[in-house]
Amino acid sequence: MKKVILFTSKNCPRCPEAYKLLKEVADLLRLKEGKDYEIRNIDEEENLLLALQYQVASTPSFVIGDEAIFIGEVPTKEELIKAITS
Amino acid sequence: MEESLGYLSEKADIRVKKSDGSVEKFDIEDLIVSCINAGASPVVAGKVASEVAKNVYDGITTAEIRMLTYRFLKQISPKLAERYKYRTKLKVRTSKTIFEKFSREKIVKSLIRETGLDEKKAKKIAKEVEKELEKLRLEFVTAPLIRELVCVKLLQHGLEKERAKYTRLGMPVYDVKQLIEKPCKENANLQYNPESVHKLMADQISKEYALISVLPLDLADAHMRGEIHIHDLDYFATRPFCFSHDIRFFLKNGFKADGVGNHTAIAGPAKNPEVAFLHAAKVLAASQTNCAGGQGFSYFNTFLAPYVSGLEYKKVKQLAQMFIYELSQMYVARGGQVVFSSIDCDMSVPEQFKDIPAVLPGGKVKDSITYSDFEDEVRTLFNAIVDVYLEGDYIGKAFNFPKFEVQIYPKDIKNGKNEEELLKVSKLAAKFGTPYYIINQPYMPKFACYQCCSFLMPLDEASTDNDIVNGTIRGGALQVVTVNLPQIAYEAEGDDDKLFELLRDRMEKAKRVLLLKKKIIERNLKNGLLPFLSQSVNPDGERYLEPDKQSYIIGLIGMNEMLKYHLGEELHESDNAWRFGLKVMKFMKNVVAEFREKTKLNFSLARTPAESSAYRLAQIDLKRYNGKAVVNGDGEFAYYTNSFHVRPSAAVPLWKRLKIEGSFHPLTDGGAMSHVWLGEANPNFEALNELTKKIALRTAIQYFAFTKDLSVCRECNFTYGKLVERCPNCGSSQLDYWSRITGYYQNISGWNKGKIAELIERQRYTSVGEPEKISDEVKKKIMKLGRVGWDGNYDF
Repeated sequence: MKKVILFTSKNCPRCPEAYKLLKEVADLLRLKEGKDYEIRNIDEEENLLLALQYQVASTPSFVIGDEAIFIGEVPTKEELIKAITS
Repeated sequence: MEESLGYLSEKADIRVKKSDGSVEKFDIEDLIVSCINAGASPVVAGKVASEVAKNVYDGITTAEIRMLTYRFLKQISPKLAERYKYRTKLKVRTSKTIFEKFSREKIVKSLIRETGLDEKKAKKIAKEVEKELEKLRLEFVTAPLIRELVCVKLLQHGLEKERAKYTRLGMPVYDVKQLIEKPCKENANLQYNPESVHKLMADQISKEYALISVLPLDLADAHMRGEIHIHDLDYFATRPFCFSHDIRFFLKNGFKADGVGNHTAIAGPAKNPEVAFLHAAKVLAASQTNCAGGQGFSYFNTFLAPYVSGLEYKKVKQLAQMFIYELSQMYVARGGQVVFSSIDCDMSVPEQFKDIPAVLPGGKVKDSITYSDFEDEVRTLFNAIVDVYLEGDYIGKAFNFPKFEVQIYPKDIKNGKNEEELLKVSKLAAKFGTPYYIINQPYMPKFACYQCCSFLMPLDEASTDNDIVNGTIRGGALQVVTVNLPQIAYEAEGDDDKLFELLRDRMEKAKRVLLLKKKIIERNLKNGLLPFLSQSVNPDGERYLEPDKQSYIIGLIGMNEMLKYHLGEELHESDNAWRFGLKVMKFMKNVVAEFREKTKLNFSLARTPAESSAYRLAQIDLKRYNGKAVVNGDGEFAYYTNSFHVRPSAAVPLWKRLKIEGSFHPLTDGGAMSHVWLGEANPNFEALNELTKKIALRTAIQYFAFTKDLSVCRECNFTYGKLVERCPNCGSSQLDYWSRITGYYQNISGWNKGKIAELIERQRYTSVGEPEKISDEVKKKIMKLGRVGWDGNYDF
């Protein structure tokens, strides 16, 4: 199981959808916030710098393990589960 | 007295013959003034003049009058007579290429006109200069010598500002002689020809002029101290930097090479494909005469697609070949160089133009025909262009201009769209390293072009909806100023607050330079100095270049060396250093955003290519901060790492290098570039294709290129894709070496020493990202090349 970071921001039209999806998948896979996944807002500078180190500059973006897998897009539930569990 | 007056009236009609053959009336007042100028009292002067007047006759020569005056003066004072003789003999060689009699009054007048000095001071200085000249006992003086003496006097009187206004700009005779008579390697990047000689002489004057007369002293000093680097200083007072054009404007309206048609023939809208392509080439050449930097076309193959409709592939390729040859052979720009040109191309019709009515042959536009009707033609022309680049020139050498910029869309890669075209582009990258990849990342402007030497132009900000429809999308950088980051670290001595404080100070200076440039260009446009850029694009009189719409670019240099000094670690050595680098970059981005907000101008932060500045600033700091400066390379080879790049020689895995650099790309709203230095002679193009996709999908990189070093044999013309000591085909050691200096390919013989050092130290990779080396022998050979000075033909 790979650790997930969801990067969001204010005024991001698809972020609520991404957030909802992550919560749903987290429930399903019994992931714990803080330990298995994190949600970070890139409007805060420290989060932005971290996001950039993961090559993320648009939201919503999912970093899974050490790689940004979905950048500026919301994957399907299946795609997200596959990326976390593979 | 009455008697003498009567005598004078008698003499009033006497004519005097001058040495040039002309005749004028005898004037006793002139005579009195010349005696007074020689130091005689008014009484003595009047007395002598009266005596002379008694002896003049109709047709007398000026030489005879001088002789008489000398004789009568001598009777009163031999010293005065000698002084008079010297003054009347002294001739000035003027810049009008004629001799003129020395006149103190001329000095007075020019001092008042040029420096604003009051008459009293001007007279005092002129008198002192005259005395100095007298001591020299010369028969002839040159106007420049008089000017130099005046300048010395101005300085002696503490009039430094006036001196700066009055001084001459120019070059020592020795330097001009060298330029004309000695084909020296110092300027090897410009071919030795009459045009380049003129350019180099003119550059010297205009650069000095910018520093002494255009920039305020503190900004000129900031440049000289290496706090900031003002790019292309030789063009600062005259031209904007670079420009991106919309060929549709010329396809619709025809073409005037001089912008007005007064000095050149006027062409109507192109009806035939050949004419359309030739107009395209000539637009860039014409605009280059008004600009310092690169000239490019956005959406080149999309907008020309209607002109290749119905043509067979062979003919389309012929057109592409003609255009590329024109731009790599027209040796006309800025003193005998090719135009610094680029074309942005798409593999299929870009989304934003699909529904826009196309400009058709003859400049016609029909609402019913849009660019989406030319999907096949866009693809065909794209393929033709790539094929021409793949073949190279007559001897198989790569074309270095126009730069070939390929628009890549991550979503197309995901959907498997345009795979064949991308693969062909990868073949070109593997063979010559020619293409530049513009990756339209999600964070980027809606539409943009890469211009010149990798400046990102947010065309959606510079252009209106009308521009998109009417064919007047355009943009460019008005000026570029780079901030020297390592120097800030040396000054801050490890103090974060001080570091950011100094950074803001440097950026404020850069801003002032950029705003000054705006004023200059506005004035030049108003005065008609930039006729090509002043032409109207619509009935409202909007000019082709509007300073308010251009980009004002602030760049940076040596992030890596700044971190090394400030934190003790380089960019790639720790996540902490990397993060701090990003913090500095974010700070710069915020300051630039603030400038944008305050001025309502398009200020942007960019990775400047730093062809000259990476070397110049390192050399300055080595001297200024003896023992403290962190540089790469030794002594005259010392250079800074460009912008936020990982040190070129750092032995880091390719992917790590790309990820570190990629993280900075989103923070540069004015453009960024990353390089993949290839080390193999024959890299696998399929592997490069995969790497391209991975870079597009897995990094934040918005612009990059694979660089192949090329060895071109002068004996057998063979081109080999690696730096080698001897030609692999014929064994000759007579090789030319080509590589990408920053954002374009160039023969390395013209590179500065810093760039030469970087070239041999670059960490090269294979197509699968493994480290790759060049031989020590070829390194030694290359280290002997390059210039010590940093004045390149492109100061990007």
